[in-house]
Amino acid sequence: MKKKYAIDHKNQLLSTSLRKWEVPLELPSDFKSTVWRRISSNEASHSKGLELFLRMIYVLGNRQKFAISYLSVAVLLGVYLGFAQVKSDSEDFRALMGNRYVSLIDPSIHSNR
Amino acid sequence: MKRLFAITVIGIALAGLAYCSVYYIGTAKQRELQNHENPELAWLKTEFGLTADEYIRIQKLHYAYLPKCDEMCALVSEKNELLKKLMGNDDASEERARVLKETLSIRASCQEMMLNHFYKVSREMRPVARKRYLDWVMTKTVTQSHARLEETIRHHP
Repeated sequence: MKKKYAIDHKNQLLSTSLRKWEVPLELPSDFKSTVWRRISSNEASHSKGLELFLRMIYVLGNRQKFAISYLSVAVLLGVYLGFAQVKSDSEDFRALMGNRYVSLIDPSIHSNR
Repeated sequence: MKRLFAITVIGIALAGLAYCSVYYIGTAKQRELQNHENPELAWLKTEFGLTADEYIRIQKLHYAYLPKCDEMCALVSEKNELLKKLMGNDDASEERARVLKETLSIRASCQEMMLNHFYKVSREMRPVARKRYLDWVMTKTVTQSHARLEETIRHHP
């Protein structure tokens, strides 16, 4: 009980001291306006990029249409790349099989093996 | 952010799945041909759109031709070996000339036999396929042999 009283008393003293405390410093007359000007100029330089980034995150994360479009494009890209690979492989395969057929029936190739 | 990540991952997975599916379906014919008992003839059937009857007739011609081809190949190989031995012997110029003539004669017979085979095969095909087959096979064999010969002459005049 005594201990609690001592702590409260100390806090009260601290509060009183803080209230009375004054920093012996004179701020320039345009201090506030300078601070606000700096804040606003800083915001102006970052706000466009930040706004764009935040908007992009919002759009990407929340818009269903975008998600569907993205997934469709991904599937179409996969299909396109698959077709391109099949086409390339088919041409190689045709050439390979053609050469194998010829090597079976051309004695000049046959005898060199 | 989690949702964005999930959508990105799903997109990549779907793209991969689409790619694999198209590739798997698109190369099914190739796998089928490779697993065929005679992939080269099966390829010929597909490439020149042969009917089942045409294929059977061409297959017979092919199997009838192969032993003759092997026989000729063995003869050419034998003469080539002999020529190699004679090349190292300065005193055997007459024999070398004789073997060379024989080799060329065998090669000519081989070419003739091969050309006859091509014409026989082509006669079993329909007109469009016939022309395409002959153009293709001549380019691959006779023209290329000629090109190879020219190349050899250029490098060893």
